[in-house]
Amino acid sequence: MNDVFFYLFGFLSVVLALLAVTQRNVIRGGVFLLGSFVSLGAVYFASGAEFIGIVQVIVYGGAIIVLYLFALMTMDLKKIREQPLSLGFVSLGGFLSGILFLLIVYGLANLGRVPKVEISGARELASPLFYKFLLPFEVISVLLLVATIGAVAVGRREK
Amino acid sequence: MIDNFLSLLFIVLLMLVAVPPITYLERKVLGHMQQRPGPMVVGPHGILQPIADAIKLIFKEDVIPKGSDKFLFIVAPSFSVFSALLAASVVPIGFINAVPMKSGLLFVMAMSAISIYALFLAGYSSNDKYSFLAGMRAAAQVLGYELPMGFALMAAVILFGSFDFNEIVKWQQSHGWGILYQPIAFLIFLVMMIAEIGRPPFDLPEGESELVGGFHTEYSGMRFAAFFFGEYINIIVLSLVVSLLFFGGWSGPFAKEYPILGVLYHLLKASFFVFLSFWLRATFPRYRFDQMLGIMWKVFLPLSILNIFIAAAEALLVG
Repeated sequence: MNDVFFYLFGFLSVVLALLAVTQRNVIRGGVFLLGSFVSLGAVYFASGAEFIGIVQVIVYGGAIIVLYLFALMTMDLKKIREQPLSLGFVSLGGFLSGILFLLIVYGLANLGRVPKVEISGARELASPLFYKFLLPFEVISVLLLVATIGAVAVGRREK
Repeated sequence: MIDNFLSLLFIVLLMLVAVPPITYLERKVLGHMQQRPGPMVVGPHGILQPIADAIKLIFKEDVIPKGSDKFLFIVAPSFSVFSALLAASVVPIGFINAVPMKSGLLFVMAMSAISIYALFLAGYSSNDKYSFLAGMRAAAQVLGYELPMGFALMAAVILFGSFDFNEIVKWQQSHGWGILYQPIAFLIFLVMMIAEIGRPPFDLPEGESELVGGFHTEYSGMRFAAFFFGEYINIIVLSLVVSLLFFGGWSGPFAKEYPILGVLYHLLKASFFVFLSFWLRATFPRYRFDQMLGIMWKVFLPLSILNIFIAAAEALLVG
């Protein structure tokens, strides 16, 4: 039963992601991206990682897409649409997504089955994070703090 | 399996059936608090008013404005109803627990994060200045309330040691109600809950006096009703959650011997908070936009972070 949902939501997630990048209207694209992220959360659910699935919906579905849409709504979309595409950007994007595609194919070749997750709750996730991987965890949090302060500093200077 | 299905059916029906009487009660309560009778014409003391409203909403012409983004305009209200119903399905009422979930509390948070798209997309897709401003306000409001709310819940979770509603109530049955340990978290959660539902004094995305109707200016008929179903279901769900977290949920005298009493206790506790939301609406004027963001970022956010330390100390002491 779970396998059916795994493939169903996986398929849905891919289809919605495709819709997201092919939409002419950026806001609609954002909404499809939201759908893609939420169905990715459902994929985690179907493979037994309840906690990660919910966090996926909160962080990506809630916070990040709201920020995307918020930023997009403040821009003048008509002006952006009229700008010509530059070949450099298109080829760079194509190159990067080609690498990503190869990575995914490589990963799939090694996997080829529905993963079974042992880590399902917050407790199981927290104990390795705060004992085994405490140092990397703290380093990342300092890095994020630096990025936040940096963003504030850059934003202030422009005023 | 069948138990779960029946519980789910019960909860969904309860939510949908409870909304019309609640709208009636709200208008009645508001009326009496403002020294006027409230609805009086339809039926004795206006008791049939919700039915009249329903008939009106069903038969009203469904208008989709010309310059609007049709797809998003139609999709937007469904975000409101479905996210509220999904959140309702994981919240246990006494022994009635439709979807037992280890991270139930987080799931409610996730659904509240999704529900904001209703206002946001409605505001954007209507192609109307007022609606658009309301959509922007809704987005900014989320950024304001979500952090303090998350931190307040984090404090509660540190104390209870679980995201599971059943575990949380079990903890309180042996240690006493959560509000005794976490009054600050309760206060923050209460304020943020009102902001999350978008009710006065935090009804900035609606703002009748300055934004006409805000995000739902262009909506009519059942699509308009969908927003209100979502809003009222959200009130019920969050009232259930707040009474679960801080007031022992279904615990009370004789609740262990007669589980049905537990359901009653829980619903009674929750209905107090539903009443409180009417009370606040009748009492407070609407916040100005910058005031609201100011109080959330400058008062509630630091307070909620400070409260986490208190919760951690309590968790160490109580064990």
